[in-house]
This record gives sequence, C-alpha cells and structure tokens, in this order.
Amino acid sequence: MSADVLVAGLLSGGLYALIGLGISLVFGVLKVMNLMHGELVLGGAYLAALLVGSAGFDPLVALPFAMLGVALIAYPLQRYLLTGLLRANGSAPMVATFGLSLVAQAALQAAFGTDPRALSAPYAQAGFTVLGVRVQAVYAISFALTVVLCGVTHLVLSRTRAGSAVRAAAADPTTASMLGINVGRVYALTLAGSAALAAAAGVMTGVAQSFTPSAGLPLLLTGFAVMALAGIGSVGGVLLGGITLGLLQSLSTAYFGGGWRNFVVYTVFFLALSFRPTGLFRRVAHA
Amino acid sequence: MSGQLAVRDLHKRFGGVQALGGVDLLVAPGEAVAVIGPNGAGKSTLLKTIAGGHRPDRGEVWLGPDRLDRLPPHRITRSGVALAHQVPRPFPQLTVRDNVRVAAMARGHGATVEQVLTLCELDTKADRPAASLAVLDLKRLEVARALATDPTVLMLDEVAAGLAGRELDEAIALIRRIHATGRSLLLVEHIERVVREIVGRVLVLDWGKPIAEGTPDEIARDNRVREVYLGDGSATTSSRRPAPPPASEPLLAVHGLTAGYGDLVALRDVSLDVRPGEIVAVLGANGAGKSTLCGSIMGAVRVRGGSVRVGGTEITTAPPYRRAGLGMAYCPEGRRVFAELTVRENLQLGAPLRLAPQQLRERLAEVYDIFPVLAERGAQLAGTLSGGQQQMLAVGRALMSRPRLLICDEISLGLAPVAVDTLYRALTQINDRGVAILLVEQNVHRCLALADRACVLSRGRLSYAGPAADLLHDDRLDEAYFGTSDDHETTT
Repeated sequence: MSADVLVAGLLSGGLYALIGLGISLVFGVLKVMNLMHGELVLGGAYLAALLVGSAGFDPLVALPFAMLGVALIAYPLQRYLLTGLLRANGSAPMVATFGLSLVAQAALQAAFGTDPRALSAPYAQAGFTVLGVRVQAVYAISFALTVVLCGVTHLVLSRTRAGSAVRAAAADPTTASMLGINVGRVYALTLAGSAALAAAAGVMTGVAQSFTPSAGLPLLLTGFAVMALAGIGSVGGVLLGGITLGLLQSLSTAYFGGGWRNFVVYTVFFLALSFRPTGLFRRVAHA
Repeated sequence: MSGQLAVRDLHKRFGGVQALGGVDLLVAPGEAVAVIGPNGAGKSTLLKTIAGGHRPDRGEVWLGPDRLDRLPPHRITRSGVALAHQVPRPFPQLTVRDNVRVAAMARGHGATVEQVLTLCELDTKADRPAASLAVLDLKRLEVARALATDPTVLMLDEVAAGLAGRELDEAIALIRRIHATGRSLLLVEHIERVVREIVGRVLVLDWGKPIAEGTPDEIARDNRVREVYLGDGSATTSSRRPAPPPASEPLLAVHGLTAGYGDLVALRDVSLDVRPGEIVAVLGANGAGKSTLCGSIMGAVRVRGGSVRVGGTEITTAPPYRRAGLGMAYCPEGRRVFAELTVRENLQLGAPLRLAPQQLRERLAEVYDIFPVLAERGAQLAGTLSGGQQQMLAVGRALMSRPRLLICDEISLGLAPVAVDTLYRALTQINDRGVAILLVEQNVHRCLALADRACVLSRGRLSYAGPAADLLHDDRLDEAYFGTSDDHETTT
C-alpha cells in the first residue's frame, strides 16, 4: 500500500478539485450555491459521449467542444433567469438551481436513457509504473488537466482586467456597476466559465468511471466537500482541497475498507465546516 | 424602575477606525440625554455597544448595581436596556400585536402588550401585518418593540429620521409620553427640534470622543460644535477663477426628482443643473437626501418621479453601467474601493474595459500626476491604504473614465484636515482641466469656498439654490441647513 495509495489519492484529488473549482468560483462571485453543478458535470460527459459515439472523437478531442457546449447552455440561464432572481430575492436563485438540476436530470434521462455509460479511450484502463509506483493513466491525465485549468483560472482572475472586473463585481456589485461594469454579464460569464470547468471534469470522470443521469448529486457533494476544505476565493486552496479529499478517500479505503470511505469523507467535511468554516487553505493562495 | 446608566471610558475599534475613543456618560434615572455629532462620530456604535451588539475593547457599562458590558445582548435587554434601531426591521408577516408580544417575551416579565400598543397609538392597527404599515407606524412599532421589554433605559437611534411636518410632531409626542412614564432616554438624533423639545442634556461626539456636553442652548452656542458640523472656516477666503459662461447647455439636468426606499420618500421634487466646467455644491445635514440624490443620478436608487438627463440624453431608468459611459463618473460615499484589489487594478476598473493599453497607460499617468502617492502604492492592496489615500484612489478611479462631470459624495468624511486639504487641492486641479464637479458635502465652508453655485437639501427638499458665495455670508445657511425656522412655524 502506502506509495500506491498516496499517489492514487493525490491523482484522483485532481478531478475533485476540478469539480470544486467551478462551484467555488460561482459561490465566490455570485454568492449562490449552484445546486445544478453536478448536472453541468454530467452535461459535459454526455456531450462528449455524443461526439465520441457519433464522430468517433477521442474524449480529449471532444473535451473542448463539451466545455464550450455546456458554457453556452449556462450563459443564458444566468443572464436571463438567475440574475433576475438574484436581484429580487436572496434565496430564490439557489432554489431555482435545484429546480434546474431536476429538469436537467429528466432531460438527460429522456435523451440518453438510464443505463450507465462510459467514454471509451485507450488510456481508460491503462496504467504505468513510475519508480515502482503504479499509476492509472486517466487519473494522471486528469490531474495534469486540473493543474492547467486551475492555473489558467488563477491567471485570468489575477492578471487580466476582465478578471479584476470579476473580482470587483464579487466584492461590491453596486460600485462596480457604477464604474461601468455590466455586472449581469459578469455573472453570466462566471457561470459559463464554471460550467466549462464542470464539463471538463465531466469528460474526465466519464473516462475514469461510468455515469448515469442521476449521478449529479454525489458529484455536487464532492464539489461542496472540496469547497468546504478550500474556502472561498482561492484557486490554489481548491487544488489543495481536492487533493486532501482524494487522499482521505484512498487512505480511508485502505485502512477501513471501501464501506467506510464516505463516512470518513463526510465526517471530515462536517468537522471542516464546523471548526474552519472559512476553509483549511483560506490564505494559501489568493485569486 | 430605577438605576443610573453609567458608561465609563468606553473604547471600540473596527479595523483601523477608532469608533469610540473613551466615552464617559451618565444618565440619571428618568433623565433624557441626546447624543449628537456628524456622520461617523460613533453615535450608533455607542448605542449598539451599550446594548451588547458590539463588545467594547475597553471601558465599562453599568446600570445601577449591574455591570452590563460583559453580558450577552439578551441578558442586557433583561437587565433593562432596550434599543430601537434607526431602520425598523419588524417581522413583516406577523401582526403588529404579535411583533410586540415577541419582544415582551424576550424579557420574562414584560409590560403588558396592550398598554404598550395604546401608548404607541398602535392599538387600532394591532391586527394588521407589520408589512402593511406606513413609515410613521413602522417607527412606532420599532419603539413599541423596544418598550415591550419594559426597559429602565430606552435608547432611540434616530427615530425621527425621515419624518417631517405632522409625522415629526407625532413622533416627538410619542417620545414625550414614554419619557413621562419615568424611563430614562438616550437618543441619537440629527433633527435639532427633537433634541430641543425632549432632552435636558446633550453630549456631542466627534471622531469617537466627547467634545462638548451641556444643555441644548449651550450646545447651540458652542463654537466647536458649529465647527464640527459645518467644517472649519479656514478655507473661506480663497476666491476662484471667474465662473464659466452660464449660457452653455447643462451637462447634468435633474428635474423634479422624487425618490426613496420602500415607503420612505427621501427626495421630493428636486431640480438642479450642472454646466460644463462649473462646481456645484450640494449641502445638507445627515438624512437630508444627499446620497439619495447621487444614487438617483447614478442609477443605484430607483426614481419615482422626475427626470435625469446627462448631456441631453435621458437616463432616468438606464442601468448604472450604461450611465458611466456618458461622461459622468461617481466617487461614492465611504470610498468603496475594492480592498482586495491592488491600487492599479482599482484604477484600471474605472476605465472602459476595451480601452487600448496605450491609452490606459496615459490615463494612469494623468491620475498619478494628480495623486503621486498612488503611483508609489500601485502594487499595494487598496485595503492597506490610509483613509485619505483610499479617498484619493476613489477620486482617481472615477477620473479614469475621463469624465466631463465628476460627482463626489462626501469626500472629506472622516478624514484628517491635512488629507482634506490635499483632496481639495486636487479637486481644484481637476476642475482647472475643465471637469465639472458636483460636490456633495457636510464640510460646508470648505466646499462653498470652492463651489460656484450651491444647493441645500433639507429633509429631501431643495431649501436653497443660488451662488455659493451668498450662502457663505448669509443667515440663510443656518436656516437652510438646520431647517429650524420652518419647524417652529408648524408647532406654534
């Protein structure tokens, strides 16, 4: 065990971080818990499944198209529905995202049926050995992808003028709008960006595991757990939060058996929320 | 019901701001005391700290033999101290009676609910949901809720704010009836008439410190108090360049503007113009409607009547982000810089997002030319700047859009005189480059010395509009500012 377990945990944590990054981004900017985030992840997986199935794309080639497709669905939802609710009533948008998650689930069921699917790729089951440690290829790829996407997100938020407009709209939307920033559009772009990240996570999840239309909830909870560990407003924190969650899962499986995995994870989630509600890695890196 | 309220050496700091810096206060049983002072003087903080909403950093609060400052808020309420907040927040779905009943339950042996309702003249409306009440009744309900805990000391935070005419008379009558039941009162109040008619003693706070104490008449004559409210007269002599030609088309034309929040009408039928290159001052006491005026012009407050035009374009209902592109820039009250962004990022946000990098650099250089300190601090987080520097940043950020009209809301608020000097010099410089300025201020003298024309708002209405210089050498300032004469007409 030991090295194998640690590396497997670390790498699977990358995927969790990618799921958490989108939720954290939306919560940080819009102050809304996006309860349809799991379905956005699944949307990416199913869009990729279409492209893999019909056009014979490799999942990694389908990935950018899936990201764009889900982002294009998310943008008008925020622009023309959720932002209006946000301005009218504080808790309405969260309830609306829950409703949308049910609608999306039903739509996925109607379109694709309830049978589990997976994205086939040559690297789906492959593995290799580095310095005597066994590594699954798909998790290595998804970890690398996560690092890249976290880096891009961090750079966009911290180094570009559009990024500072996003941070300004997050901190004080009233003042931002009086400076000429179209806060409605910033919100919509934020959800679209979050959806693209979710879709990327969905494609990699689809390669690594099978998925069904009802798989959104566990994905959402995973994202919440990462956010609880990471805190808000820190891309680096999200990455560390995801890795922590991955390590916890693989260590608890190794020590207590698979049956206790979720118990350990949710206990830590609960303790983190209770004692460090601002996250374990709040000040590690600042977006 | 007895026991003297004793506040000793009370200190409270919020981040870098010393909200209370050693306040001592005694309120004898049955006495009524008012706390006054300009915006940010620490008045509301004092009441909240006594009520347990804030924990003091230092100092003690005693009621009779009981020490209160270490107790949680509900224990303080049970000990006999109640606070009616400035903005009433009843449970909107509950009836008036149930709202009062809930408050009565907070203290084991509360006063009878019906007595309180009658005293506050809410008995006929007791079965209506609180959400259906108009402003005056909402204020009554807020007082009734505080009263239902049967307090020894009742603290009222600007209960009369936003009321005028007959409503104000009724609010004063209510406070008097409560005082007649033998309770001690501690009021924070801006309306001079309320102070004059109810309390025997006034404590004046500025920068969290008591600067004067005495009867309302003594306080009215106190020069330091006048200075605190109206600003010092040091800059009154400077005479400026001749006013620009009046014939030109106004940059900003506000006509018959009425605006407010919920039931509260904060601005009634206000009209004013700003022409290219001129400086117009908007004066008025706290709660006179100055910030509502700015909010209406910038689109943050919904306008109920009248119109706002900028450069001939009607913008009364345009969203805020569209207005910023029309040659108008806003420097909001309380600065509102983005604390977690760097100084440079803050400035860049003031410019249109699509501006080419070369032009962006030029504009940054212009702002750095006016405020060199911002260039030195470019990479620093805005939250780490001093108050004066943050204010410079807020002005600089507004200038980044190259406005023809700069609207400044209370830019000298809470700043040391040195910082105010720097800012006013910068405003002169900005105006010399042809930018018109709408200057909303409490610091009357300094502002009038700079302005071409002035408007005074008094409880939401325009009470003076004309040359700034006339206002400076005229009794009308006091009249327009404090609005005392018109109040006496309504009572006598």
